[in-house]
Amino acid sequence: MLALTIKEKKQQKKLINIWVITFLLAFPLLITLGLLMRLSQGEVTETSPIDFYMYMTLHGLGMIGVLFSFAFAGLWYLVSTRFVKLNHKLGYFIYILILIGLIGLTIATLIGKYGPGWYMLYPLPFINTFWKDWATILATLSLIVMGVAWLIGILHVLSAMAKEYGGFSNLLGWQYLKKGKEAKKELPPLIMITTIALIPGIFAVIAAAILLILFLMQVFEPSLSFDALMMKNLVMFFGHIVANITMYCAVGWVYHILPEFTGRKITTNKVLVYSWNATFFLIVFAFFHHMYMDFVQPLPFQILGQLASYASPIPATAITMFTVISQLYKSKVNWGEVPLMFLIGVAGWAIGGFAAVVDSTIAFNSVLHNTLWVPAHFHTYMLMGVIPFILAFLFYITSSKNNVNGSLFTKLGFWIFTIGSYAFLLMFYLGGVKSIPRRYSSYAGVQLEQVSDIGKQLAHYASYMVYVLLLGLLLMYISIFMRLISKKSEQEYIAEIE
Amino acid sequence: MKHSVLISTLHNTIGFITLIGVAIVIFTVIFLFTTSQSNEDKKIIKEKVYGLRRKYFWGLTTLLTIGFFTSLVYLPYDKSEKADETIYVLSFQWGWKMAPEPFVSDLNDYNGKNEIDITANENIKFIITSKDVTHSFGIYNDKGELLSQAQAMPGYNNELLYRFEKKGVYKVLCMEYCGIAHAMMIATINVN
Repeated sequence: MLALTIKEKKQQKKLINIWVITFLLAFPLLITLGLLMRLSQGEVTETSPIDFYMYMTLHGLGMIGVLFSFAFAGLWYLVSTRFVKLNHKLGYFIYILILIGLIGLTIATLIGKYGPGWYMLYPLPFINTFWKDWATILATLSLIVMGVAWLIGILHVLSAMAKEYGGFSNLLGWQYLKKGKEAKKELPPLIMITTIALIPGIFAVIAAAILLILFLMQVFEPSLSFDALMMKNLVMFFGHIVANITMYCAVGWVYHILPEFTGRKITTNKVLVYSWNATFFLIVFAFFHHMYMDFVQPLPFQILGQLASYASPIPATAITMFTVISQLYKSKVNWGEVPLMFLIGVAGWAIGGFAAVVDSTIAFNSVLHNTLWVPAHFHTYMLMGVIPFILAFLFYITSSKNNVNGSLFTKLGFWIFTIGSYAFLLMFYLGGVKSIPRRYSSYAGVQLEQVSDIGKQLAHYASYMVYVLLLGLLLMYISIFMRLISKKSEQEYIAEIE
Repeated sequence: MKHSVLISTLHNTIGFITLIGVAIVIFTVIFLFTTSQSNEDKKIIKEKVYGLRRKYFWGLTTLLTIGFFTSLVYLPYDKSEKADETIYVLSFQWGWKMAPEPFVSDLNDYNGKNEIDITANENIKFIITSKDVTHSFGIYNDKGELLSQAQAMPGYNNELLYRFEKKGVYKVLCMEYCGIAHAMMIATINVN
């Protein structure tokens, strides 16, 4: 265990608390944007297409930004308080940069009406736009600021860990693969997973940087134009990796935190090393499945996309999910908030991942691509995977360990949230099976009765479900805020990690 | 089997496969809840879980391998099949121009209509591009089922081969967000 002074621990605790409050404020606001979109599609409210696409853009970019940043901040906290010293001042600097980026995006969208969607599919931000150039510039600069913050943070965490564990190959666990040699220093699974998740993050940020610099060049020199297929590959490479590693960062928490509740330690071994090293390649290459319907994309890339997507569930389920099963099976665990939320999160990851593998089948993709099936699976992955992990993390860092069974009030909130979320997601899945296109500001004008009727009805039902999940969230919020402001839990906490 | 039947089957298959996946996950979660409080020797538990994991690993790998190679038979990229008719599709913000005549060098001058007539049971090759931003050419039948699609990207021609086996009115919707009137882009294909 890392030797830290109480002051150092408090500094890191303060930093994560700021992140917690930021997440707790931003998350329901971003959900509200999604709700406004479903209300508009359900013809409950009237929203202009300009506002709809502006909401859609902020909802997407904001959620990616907030969720990845929080997943990273959570890793930072666990790594810095348990394993490797990290510079908390740099942590604050990164936080401020990300906050500036998020505020910039909010202004570009809510005031500037920037609305090309999270993926800003080139050349959409430059042709017949309903927003001004300044909004494109502000959004682009904001994303660059966030990317710089992520890059600084990732490099700091990786280099500090590499120093502690004797180089990158050790961080990847390769010392466990050498025959006859015992690893000199035990590598905690959290450290290996952090490494595997964050290195692709560097690649993603570099891809985004290239894309965004080209964007800026075109804003200032409109006669320029770039290859649309290359730009799409770049943006999908970035987006896929960031969404994917948001999950893997959170999975790292599970490996570290769940054993504290089950009393069954997870140690790094050969199988775990092989599995996570394979995951590294799957994270990097699966993004090709976003381009199946671009028939001009070279065929080997299309096949590679499906191959990497099909291979992804092998390490994810056979290793990580089985690890969770072996943690909980006959463990006599107390079903407090944390293990409960981790288990439901793993289940959501499995369901979202399953639906993603279905969509990653090229033959199915012909009838699923850009239907509501797509938001169905990634919302499952995020809303019922990453979010329960984040909630578990929040309760973990704000609760006393004496409170083993958790509060009934919180668990009631969580079950209401879970039921509301799955009912909400079901409307997306049904929309996918019924061929309803995504990113339609309204289904009213579609000259195809089934699409316009079903699209509208599903959106209408989904909007009710959002109220249910928000109610569940509210109950959990009350509980988290009570714990955050309770001085007692803070002192207890400090005593516990000493 | 008729294509219309096949397409309904395809959508149902997708729904069914996913339901099976969801059922397995729910079963596992309930199993873990119900068994979590019982007692067993740690060593036996470890052996049991590892034994099951080995079987699961090989079972899953076999299933995915079979699924992978089977699905490759149904790739939409086959260019070897001969086309009976070629239709050029130009997409733009916010509409479609379709015609049998090849594209001209300046796409602004291309003439085409947003409603065309074609013959049933012929292999139709759609050559699809865009004049401005990326769109996507999605073919729907009169039941509102998506039959096939291909992206319409500026600077590229995507070739989609499709055979309409049933006479009737088909609609084209845009499947890629392309700006403010994305939901309004519509065209008609009459199959006689």
